[in-house]
Amino acid sequence: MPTIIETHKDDLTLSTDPKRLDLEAICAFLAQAYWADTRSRTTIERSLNNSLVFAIYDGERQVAMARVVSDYATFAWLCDVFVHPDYRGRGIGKWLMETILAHPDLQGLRRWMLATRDAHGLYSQYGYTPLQNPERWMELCDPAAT
Amino acid sequence: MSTLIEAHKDQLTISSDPQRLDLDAVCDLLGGVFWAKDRSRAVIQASLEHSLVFDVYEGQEQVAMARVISDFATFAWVDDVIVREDRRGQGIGKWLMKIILTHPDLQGLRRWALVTRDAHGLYRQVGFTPLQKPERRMEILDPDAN
Repeated sequence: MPTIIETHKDDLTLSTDPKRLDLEAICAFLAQAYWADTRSRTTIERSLNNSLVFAIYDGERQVAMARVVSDYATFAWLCDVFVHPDYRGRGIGKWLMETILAHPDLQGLRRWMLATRDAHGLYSQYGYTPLQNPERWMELCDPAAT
Repeated sequence: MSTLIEAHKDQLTISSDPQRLDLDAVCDLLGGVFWAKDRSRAVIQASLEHSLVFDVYEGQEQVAMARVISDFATFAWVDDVIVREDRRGQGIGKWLMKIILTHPDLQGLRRWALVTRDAHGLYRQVGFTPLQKPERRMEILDPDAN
């Protein structure tokens, strides 16, 4: 069980407490995301159960999230980074990224990775770079899978 | 807790039973490969605790391994695929990958990924392909981290 952290900024709370997660809100977020708009509720629930999830709350309302799949030793996959449209342009993505990369259980990893179509600018501010050796990467993708 | 599987071929057994794992043997295997030779025992132990580890045994002797980091819903990262030097060229890697890809908890994933310097041929045989859009991937690589 990863360390639970909580930080505050203005009226917002960032928490990794899995008990606070709002599955309805997360399903609604992901339904709007180009990479996850067909993902089933069952798959989403399972993914949350096996990830370290960072969520931002305005009062009780969940307004942003990001998810990390990691062995807490060598590798982390960052995915499902989503900020509710009403809350964009307020630095929430940056706050999320800073908090994720500082999480005590995610230090000293050999590799972080992510996939993005259009948010390279955000991630490059936190040390993410284009692949150094893209020819070494291989994937097996199932676009039909949810 | 992932489903435990066991498979047999000739004198070999693949097992995903964490209780069978021999940390010394894993450290020996990792000590013999370029990407993990400096990884500490503590990091190895932590990585095993948070991965689905597949080991190949010949009798009591561990002759190969592979490790999967996954949320068991959308994504799997294959790492530390190692066949002991004196057992290479016998199809063990291919058999191991096939067993991994059919593990019941790893079905319907949207993406499998890995990096390899020289084993593209092996992974291609089980369905992996080069990246279609490498510009959509980003990484933070810390070559000094073990």
